[in-house]
This record gives sequence, structure tokens and C-alpha cells, in this order.
Amino acid sequence: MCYYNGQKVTHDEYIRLKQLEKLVANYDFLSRDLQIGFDYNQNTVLKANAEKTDFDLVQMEWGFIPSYLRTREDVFKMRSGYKDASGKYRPPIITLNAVCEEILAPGKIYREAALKRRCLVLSTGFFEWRHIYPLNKRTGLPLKTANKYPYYISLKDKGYFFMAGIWQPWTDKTTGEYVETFAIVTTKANKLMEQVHNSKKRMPTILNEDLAYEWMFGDLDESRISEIAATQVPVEEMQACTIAKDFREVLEPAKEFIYEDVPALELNL
Amino acid sequence: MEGKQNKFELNYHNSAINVERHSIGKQTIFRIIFSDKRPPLIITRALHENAYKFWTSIPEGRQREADEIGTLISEYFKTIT
Repeated sequence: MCYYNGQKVTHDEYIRLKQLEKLVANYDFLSRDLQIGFDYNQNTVLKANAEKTDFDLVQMEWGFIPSYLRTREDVFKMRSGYKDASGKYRPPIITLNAVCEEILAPGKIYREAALKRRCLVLSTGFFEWRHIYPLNKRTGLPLKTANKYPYYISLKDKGYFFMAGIWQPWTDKTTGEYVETFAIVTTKANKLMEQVHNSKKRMPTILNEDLAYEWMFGDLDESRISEIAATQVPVEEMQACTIAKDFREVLEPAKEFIYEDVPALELNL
Repeated sequence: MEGKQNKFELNYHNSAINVERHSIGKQTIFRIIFSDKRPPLIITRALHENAYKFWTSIPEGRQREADEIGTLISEYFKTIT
């Protein structure tokens, strides 16, 4: 058992707080916008050093920026959508997640990073929305518009865990701004996540410590990269609970919130 | 997303303190700026071994302030939600 500030905490919690100390020490409060959003903000990433003998805990921007984009304005347009010179609307391209089945596809923006710049994203848990279609009281048929309920998903008995990521250095060609950006690799949902993230049936690729080490430090061929990228964390290691719909605005976003009209998840899978 | 909940002012021992909420590695921390010459304080919620949450300073060493100001922050969020 350990003590932090005189308070008795578990070993896991002690490690989390010590890691948070390192992050806070390196966090530049003055140049950061205040944000609690989950898009394009700074996240903690484990990145191998050049010799691949050790790793650093660094902050990277979530949202992979392809090397062909020249300026922040280009990045903004890619993420928000825009009308091109001919007036044609180009929809947003979201690069928060990289689909494991496609990361190595020739010509894909993620290929080079998947081959050469794999990283681990430190997480304590993540949020997904479950879509539930209420029944029409007259016909008994599901309505076309779903009610959406947020869930917080974490791993049992783990204060934190690793998600597979790939990263990309990027420099704004006009201002010289340098950032490192990343995408979280996603895989097919397991039986639990199929129920929670039931609109897309995907989930992050969560790696145990051995696979995490191999993902970051291993000299891997394409077949092994694809294999690890497709890893599904076992259902029995996960836990999920509903949380408040305004979870981004409250003090404890992950606090359980019960909805009377949300059927329980099937956990005996 | 930005909002008033991410930056607010509280009264601490009859002095104004500015509170900023930041998200680092999906973990929430609060940075406290004092109106006197004290250095800024970083606090967060942590889990006690007996499964209750408590406020703590990051790094260690300013537990009393963390506890007192954390309680004010908790009360602030109760009043706005």
C-alpha cells in the first residue's frame, strides 16, 4: 500500500498520480486553450525513443494530420469541411481513429505511421454512445430516431490501460509550428461493445502489457502489425456504465447515472 | 469545448482565487491562481484505498489547500448542475 499526500491509496492510484505529476510538470498551461472536449486536444502518449530502448511520456494532439497538409488553415478545412475552388462541398475528414483493417492499405495516410511510428495512448477509460430506438406506441415498431445514452467504459481492476496508436510529426509550412499528432487504432467491437457502441460496432484496440510492448518496440512485419491492431480486449476484462448526458460539463464525467428506460447490457456472454 | 465551467472565480478565505479546469491525458485537473504571491496550485481528485474520493495536490505537499479548495470546487459544481 502507498501514501500520497498522507492519504492511503492503492498501488495503481499511486502510479497514476505520479504519472500525472510528470504530465503536469511538462504541461504548458499558458499556451493552451482551456478545453475539456475530446476532439483535437492534447493527450498523453507513450512514444519510443529513437533507439527503441525506452519510451517518453509526451503530449500529442489527438487528430492525425497528414503530411500533405501545409497549414493550420488546411487542417481546419479538412476537419470541418469546406467548399473547394469549384464550389463543390468537401465533407470533413475525421482522423481521430484509424481503422485497423485499413491502416496498412497502400495509399492510406496511416500506412507510413503504422509501419514506423506506433505509440500507446494512456487511458483511464473512454466514452461511447448507445443508440436505443423507442417503440411507436401505436404500431409497436421502432421509431426512426434513436435516443442516445452515453457510457463510460473502463477495464476492471485497472487504473489505466494502453490503446494502440500511430503518430505523425507535422510542421505548419507558413508558421513553422511543429506538433506531433496521433490517431487511436480501432478494431471490431467485442460482444460487450457491440451493445454499447451499437451504431458503429467498433472499439479502441486495447493492448495488454506484452502486446503494448511489442506494438511500440517490436520490429514487426505487416502481418503482425495487422494482427495486433485487430486485438479485441476480452469482454470479461471490461466494465461499462451509463453516465449523465451532460457528462462533459460535470465534475466527475465517469460517475454512473442510471436511466430507467435503458435496458441493462447482457454481460453473460 | 469551452465554457464557464472551465474557468471560474471562487472566494477562498476572503480572497478571490481563479480556477481553471484542464484535461491532461483524459484526466481532469484544476489549476488555482491566487491573488496573493503564492505559487499556483494544481489539484485533482484521487481515489482513497477505502474507495472514497479525495482532493489532492499535484505534486504532493499542499494537501490542506487541496482539501479546502477542492471542497469549494465541488460545491461550485453542485450549484451549477
